[in-house]
Parts: sequence; C-alpha cells; structure tokens
Amino acid sequence: MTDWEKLLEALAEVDEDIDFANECALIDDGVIDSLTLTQIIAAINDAFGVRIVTGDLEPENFNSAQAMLKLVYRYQERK
Amino acid sequence: MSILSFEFLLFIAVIFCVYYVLPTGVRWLALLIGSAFFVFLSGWQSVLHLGAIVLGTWLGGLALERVKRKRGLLCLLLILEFGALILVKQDTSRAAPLGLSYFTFQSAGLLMDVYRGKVKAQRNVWKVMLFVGYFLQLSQGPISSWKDLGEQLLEGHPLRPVSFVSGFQLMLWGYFKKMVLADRLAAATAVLTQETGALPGWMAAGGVLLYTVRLYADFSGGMDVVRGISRMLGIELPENFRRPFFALSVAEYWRRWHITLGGWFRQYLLYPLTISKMGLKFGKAASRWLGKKTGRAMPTAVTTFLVFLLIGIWHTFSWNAVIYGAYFGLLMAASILLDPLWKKMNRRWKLGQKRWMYPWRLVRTWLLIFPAQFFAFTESTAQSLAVIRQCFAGWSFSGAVDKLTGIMSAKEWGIAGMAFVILMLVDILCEAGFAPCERLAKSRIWVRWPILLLLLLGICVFGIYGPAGDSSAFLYTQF
Repeated sequence: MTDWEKLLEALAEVDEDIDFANECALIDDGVIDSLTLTQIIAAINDAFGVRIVTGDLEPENFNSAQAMLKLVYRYQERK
Repeated sequence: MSILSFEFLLFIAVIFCVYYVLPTGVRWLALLIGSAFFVFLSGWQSVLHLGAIVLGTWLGGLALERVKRKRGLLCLLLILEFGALILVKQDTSRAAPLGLSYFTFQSAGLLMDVYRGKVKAQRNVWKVMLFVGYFLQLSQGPISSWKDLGEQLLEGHPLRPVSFVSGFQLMLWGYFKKMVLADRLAAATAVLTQETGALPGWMAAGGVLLYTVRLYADFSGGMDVVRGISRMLGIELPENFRRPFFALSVAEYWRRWHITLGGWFRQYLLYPLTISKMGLKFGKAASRWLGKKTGRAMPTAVTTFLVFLLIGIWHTFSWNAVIYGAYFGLLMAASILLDPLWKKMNRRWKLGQKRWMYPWRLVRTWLLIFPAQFFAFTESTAQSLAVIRQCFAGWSFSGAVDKLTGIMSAKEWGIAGMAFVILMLVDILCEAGFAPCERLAKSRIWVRWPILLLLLLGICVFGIYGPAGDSSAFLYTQF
C-alpha cells in the first residue's frame, strides 16, 4: 500500500462523507471543523507515527490530502 | 474615555487628521500616541498594568528567540500574565484596568506565536505597545493575532474613499444598535434583578429573552463602532459576531458569538491540549474501550468542556459563570461524542437536505441556548434560580399592558420594537447573502447619503443619553 493510499484510508476512517482525494480547500471552504481536524491529526499519528505540533496547524497544511502528505514527509525527514 | 462620548468623537477626528497628514511610513505613530493618551486617561492602574504587560511581551518575545529552555520561559511568562489577570479580577473592590482581559489575551497570543516560530519577536517596544494596547480594540476586543492586526497597524494606509464610507456606515450602525436598542432595553431587563417575586412567568422569561437581545445589540454594536472607525483608518479588525441568532446548532452559535474569544481558546488551548502527547495517548486508550471514532473524539470532548468552563469563569469568578460554562461545555462535549451517530442518521435519512429541518434546527438551537441565559444576566445564582422559578409561577396576562407600560412608556416600547425589526431585517439580508452594508457603501451618492443621514438622525433623536450626555457603559468592558 502506498503512503497516499494509507493516508486516504486513515482519512476515510475519520469521515467517509468527505472526498479527501479531490477536495483542495478543506479548511478554507469549512469542509472540516476543529473536531475533524483534531481527529485527522490522531489518525495521521496512528498511521504514520508522526505527531504534528500546534505550530503546523495552518490551513495550507490541511487544505488537501496532498498537503497533509507533504507535511507527514516533512516530519519523517526531520526524524 | 467612553467610545460613546462626545469627547471620543473629537479625539477620533484629531486622530484621523494626524494619521492622514503624516507620511505613510510613520502613520502608526499617530495610533501609538492616540493609544497612549487613551490608556493614560483611563487611570494609573491601566498605565501600570498595560506597561508591565508590554515590557513583558517585548522582553519575553526577544528572550524566547534566544534561550534554550523555551517552554519553561513561556510557561513562566504565561503564569505571570494570567496570574496578574486573576489577582486583579478577583479584587472586586477596585476597578480593573481598561481592557485587562483583551490585552492580556493579545499579548499571550503573541508570545505563543513567537514560541511556535509563527512570527518573529518584535524588536521595537513601541510597536509591541501599539499591538497590545491599540485603543480601538482595548475596551472590549476583538482579540487579534499579530498576523491579523500587528502588520496592519504598522503599515500606514492611504485614504480610500470606499473603505472610509463603509467604515463610517458601520460605525453609525454600531451606535444605532447600542444607543437606540441596547440602552433602551436596559430598563426592561432591570426588572429581572429588582422585583422578581412580583413578575408573572411570561415577564420573567421575556426579560431573559430581552436581555439576550440587549447583550447582542450592546456587544456587537460596540464591535461595529470600533471596526468601523478602524476601517476608516484602513485597518480591518476581525469580525466578532456573525448573526448568532441564525445558528443551526450550539457549536455554530459559538462560531458566530464572540468569535475571536472562541478562536483564541481554540488556537492556544484546545489544539495544544488535544494533540499533545498526552491527548493522543488518551485518545488511543479511549479507542480501545469506545471504538475508534468515539475514542478519538474523547480528547476533543474533554478539552472542549474545559475550554467552555474557562470561558464561563473568564466572565466572572462566580457560580453562575461556572454553571454557564459547564452547561455549554457539556452540550458541546455531548455533540462531539454523538457526532458519528448524527452523521450515520444523516446518511440514512438525508436529514440535512430536508427543508423542514431548517426551522426545527433553529428552534432546537434556541431551546438549548435559552436556559444558559438565565445564568448570564446576573452573578447571583439565587437570583437566577428565582427568575427560573418565576417562569413557572403562572402566566396570568391580566393587566399585562399596565405592567409593560410601568417599565417604560408605550412609545419607548414601540421604538425598541422598530429598532429590533430593523436589526433583524439587516441580519436576515446579510444571512441571505444580500450584503446590504457593502451595497450601500458602493451605491450612488443620492441613495447612500439620505439613508446614512436618516440613520444619524435616528441615533440623535432616539438614542438614549446618560446624565452627562454619555451613553451607558458597554456590558463587556467590565471583563
């Protein structure tokens, strides 16, 4: 399973109604609220073992699944 | 100096002249000197407290960029800031410094942003002072971050006629809400704290409802005034109210009511706690017992409860504030934990798309919010309980007209009613996306100015003035 698929699977577990693969303004358009955002962070932590810190809770990091994967890679590089 | 006084209008006129005469690069100095003057007039406690907070924010910010033990230093700075806030607020024998909570929140936000590396520590102490003590947001907010406000204050804006007119309009609208509606309703809501025992049920319940309207008109009116004047200077302050009476859920209500306070708590308390190591561990442990979805929501539910409890206590250190905060905290925590169930039901029956759900959701939200208002209008739990008891004491309507005209004359009721209808009409138009304020600001001069002059005349004729010609203080300046 690729990282992309792993992320989409984790995100679908959080909310299956949201089209994470294609949406690109999840925060800006209000598709995800603060509850969903904190759950996404918990799901990313479960799937990839990285703990996102509050300083990275910026819309540009969570507006799309691609942006989230980039953020995950940044954390993995730092490890 | 109250922002409703005649002196304030003169003061603003001077600020405008100096601001727009100065070269763009140093226009912020007009705001700085204006803010210093404003704080100076509000007493030595304000000068000392704000001065200490500004120095702490400036030196603390610089130190946070240099020291190794950043977290320890940040904790120390926050303990000092909030310790001072609590100490001053719990001493009710003295008046608290002007805008105490608002500048404390703003300063703490800046320090946390520097700690997180989101903004650079400001080297110029005067720039820190302007951000923390900007006179227009000092008395009752909105609470802004450095990114939202700091750079805007320092930029120096050219005079833009459309912004200037739109700001003037917003300012007038704010004065209308405060002076024509909110202050007029003060008499009607005062009966709740004076003669509870003699009130029929409908008057007690109606009084609490009117208090809610008054609070909205008062606080959002004040926000419109300061946002309007700021816009006239080219500075856009964040919105603090977005038509809360049209919320379709309690969560949405809190996204529309006192938006910047909720945003501050979300940014600087809810997120850090929920996604901390401990929060994630707690979520994993809860997932084993409650299933993944509910388990993962548990940390957010617990921290949300805590945040609302603190928002309650922030208002006053009283049992009423605890009840108010805990009530909303429990409602929000329950809605977070029931979210998966709600989504499941929605998928099955497509409830979100049904038209009849709109009025039901609106009414349901108000049925949930209304009980909390009984604990908002006074600090005394006994008083709140007495009013609740009174609501069930009997709804005799005999002599209703006399009772109402005993509070204020039929003419006054009529003016309050008209003002409320106008407020609701504007809110409905905004809600429907008609954007009446923006349209008016861009409309032709012979359409715009008669309407604005009518509004101005309405405020002058129907506004409530105190003994010295000033209007009464805003409800939220006391926090």
